[in-house]
Amino acid sequence: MLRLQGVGKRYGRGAAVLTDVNLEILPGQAIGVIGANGSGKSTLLRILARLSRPSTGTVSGAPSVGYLPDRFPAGTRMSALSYLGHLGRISGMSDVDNKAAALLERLALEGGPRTPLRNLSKGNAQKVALAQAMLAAPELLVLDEPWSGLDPAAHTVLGELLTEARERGAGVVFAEHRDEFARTHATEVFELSGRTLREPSEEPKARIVLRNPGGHLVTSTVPASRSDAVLLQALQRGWSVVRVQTPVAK
Amino acid sequence: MIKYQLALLGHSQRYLLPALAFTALLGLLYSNESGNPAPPEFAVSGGALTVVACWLTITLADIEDPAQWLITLAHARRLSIVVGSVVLTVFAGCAGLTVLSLLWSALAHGGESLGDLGIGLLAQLTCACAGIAVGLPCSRLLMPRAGYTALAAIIGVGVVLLTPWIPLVNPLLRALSSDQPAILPILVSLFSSVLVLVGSAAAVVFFRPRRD
Repeated sequence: MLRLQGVGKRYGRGAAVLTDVNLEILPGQAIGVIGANGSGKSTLLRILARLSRPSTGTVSGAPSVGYLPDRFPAGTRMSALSYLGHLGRISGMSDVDNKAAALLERLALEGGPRTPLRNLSKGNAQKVALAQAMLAAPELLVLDEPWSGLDPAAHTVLGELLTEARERGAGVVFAEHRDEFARTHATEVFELSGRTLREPSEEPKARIVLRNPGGHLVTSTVPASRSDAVLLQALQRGWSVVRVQTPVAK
Repeated sequence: MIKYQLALLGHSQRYLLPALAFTALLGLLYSNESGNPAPPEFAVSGGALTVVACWLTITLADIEDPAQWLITLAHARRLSIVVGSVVLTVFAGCAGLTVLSLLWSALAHGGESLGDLGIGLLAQLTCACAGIAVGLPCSRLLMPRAGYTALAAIIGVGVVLLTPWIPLVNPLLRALSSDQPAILPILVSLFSSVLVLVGSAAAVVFFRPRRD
């Protein structure tokens, strides 16, 4: 369906964001990409969606793509249904309004499909963004942190939608911070670290949310075996612990 | 795609300022009509339409947030479709303003000869093409910062309006302002403006992916 060979990316004269990334996406496959903030996940996803050109290497294959960016700035007065209708028609769909309305109903968009995009909360805007990516039943879904901002009910619906997409033969690639989410929904998980894609280490990760003395929240993902040491060090430095998410195995 | 661009422009209401400014100019132009010939007035409204076309092009190309623009591009699948839709949408808007301008002129003069109306139509559509051609590369499609956009647009519009040896707008405005407007300079300007517009759109489609 889509293959990346030796792909690298550099913006202008800056440092390389990605180097020597090799990846093949097959129909029905769901690939989860995990990695820290700034590791290049969004850049990789834009290259997969053919929205950005790699600086080196090749991308072969041209499937139709549904793309969800890492944030969806819903700043227009246009209604959710109207927005989806326009995008569906641009994709060449017929009967787009009924399909869009059904998708928004399934995702339980607060306020209904005729709510202006600018009035939507972050979670509801994310539902519209997900709907536009899935609307035209693309051959490849490229989703950048699709669970971000969604309520638990929508988490379940998104899981079902991804399963249905895979069952009809679509490939799915998504980026995610949380190991557990990636492992639950992906058939294969890769870690983006050191500017390239690797098999993830088997060791489970813990997600720690801390508040520094200045009052700012800092999120860190560390190997679960090191979480106690990291917490101790943070407390000794006067930081406070807001939340710790550890895998069941720990 | 053009319908979507029109909807974006309509919902944002960012077309209002250039459209109102153009209408106000027409109001001033035709407020004290006392037997002036029409072509020199078309030169004034054509020059203004160059600015309006450039303004609307930059506005429309920048109207979506970069993340939302990527979504639109993913649905369109080809950058040329997105750029083409911006060009055609702004051209449609300018065509509407041209019709308004010609109707106003005809009313002010108590009727207009078909020849003068034809000259006015060609001249204003030429100016629209030139304005769009300047606006495309000055927009966020190629310019990374708003400051660069404003500077480049002012310089670009200034060059096409004021430079007599560039066969785009200035020779056309001079031809319209003369006592006997000749059709040849108008046709040369129309041809070169369309050519420059196609070149401008192609340059954006070529260089934009190298920026991302």
